[in-house]
Amino acid sequence: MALSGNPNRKMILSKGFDFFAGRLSRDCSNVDYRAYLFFLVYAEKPATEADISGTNFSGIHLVEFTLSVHFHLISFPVREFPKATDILFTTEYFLHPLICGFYIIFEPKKSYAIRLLYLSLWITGFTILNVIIEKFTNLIHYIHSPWYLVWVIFFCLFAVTNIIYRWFFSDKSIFREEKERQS
Amino acid sequence: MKAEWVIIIAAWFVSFGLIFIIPKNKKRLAFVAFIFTQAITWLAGLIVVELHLLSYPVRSFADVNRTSFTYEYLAFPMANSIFVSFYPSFRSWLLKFLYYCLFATLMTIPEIIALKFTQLIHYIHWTWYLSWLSIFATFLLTKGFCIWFFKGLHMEAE
Repeated sequence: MALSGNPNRKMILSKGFDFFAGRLSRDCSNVDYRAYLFFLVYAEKPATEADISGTNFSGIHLVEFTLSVHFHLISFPVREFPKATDILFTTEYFLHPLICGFYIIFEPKKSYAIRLLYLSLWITGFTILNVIIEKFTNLIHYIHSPWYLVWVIFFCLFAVTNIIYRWFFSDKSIFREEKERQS
Repeated sequence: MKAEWVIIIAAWFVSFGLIFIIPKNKKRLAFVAFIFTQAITWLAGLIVVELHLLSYPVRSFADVNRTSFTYEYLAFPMANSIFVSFYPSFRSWLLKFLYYCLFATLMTIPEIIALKFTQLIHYIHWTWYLSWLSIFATFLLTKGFCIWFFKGLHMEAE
């Protein structure tokens, strides 16, 4: 196909790879509106190094767990708002964002492979925690959701969060301009 | 029943369309406003439904969530993104106050229309001015959060 000869395609591919590898540089900071749309769909607030617990709220976890409950993959027999929702509020609103925030803060600034290993270790620990909760309490009940599916789901959620976090902080000079405009 | 679903789908299209109105240099600000509004409406929406103040007879993900998914996680956060993106920062406090009132009113009027003519929302122990005040408070909180958040980032960047 003529696509392989297109010089733009190679540039887009390499930029895309840099993006997913987290190697965002200055020239990659002008993410266009298509990417923006993507971030809104996977809406997740990135954590700042300064303050994590108050600011990291996750819409993506909500969407994912709404779908899970909808398709009868997971159920939450004991929950805070039994009339208003079938989803466990505390974990989605506080626990997952908090753990995700700690994951991002303590991520080593090493190669792509090491960071992937780091994420895998983190997700494994988190999945073990979830399986323990599932076994010994009525908070979570997996209906058609084996432990490895939980692992994959959390892996995707955390990876997407990290990507958005890297996009958000890819150009720090922008914040100065925005601050001046606001005040 | 059919008209409600047309409105819900139209709300999705309009909300995603509004992304293109936001100026490109304000995309991070709008993103933060979007996420923070979701954080407020998520909690507040669950509380008002749990306490039987409101109900949403026609809604998406009806078997899982008794709150309005479209309004609380998409339409209202999007409106708040627009709000902070076009906020008149360098004008007088009166104009800023009128800007808040304008947006709160713009959000309340469709709600009243939906209440009168459709099954999208039903008030049990609720009134339109409570809606107006809660929407106003949400705008105020989000604006305050954006100022605080970007101030912290600014200090960190130096």
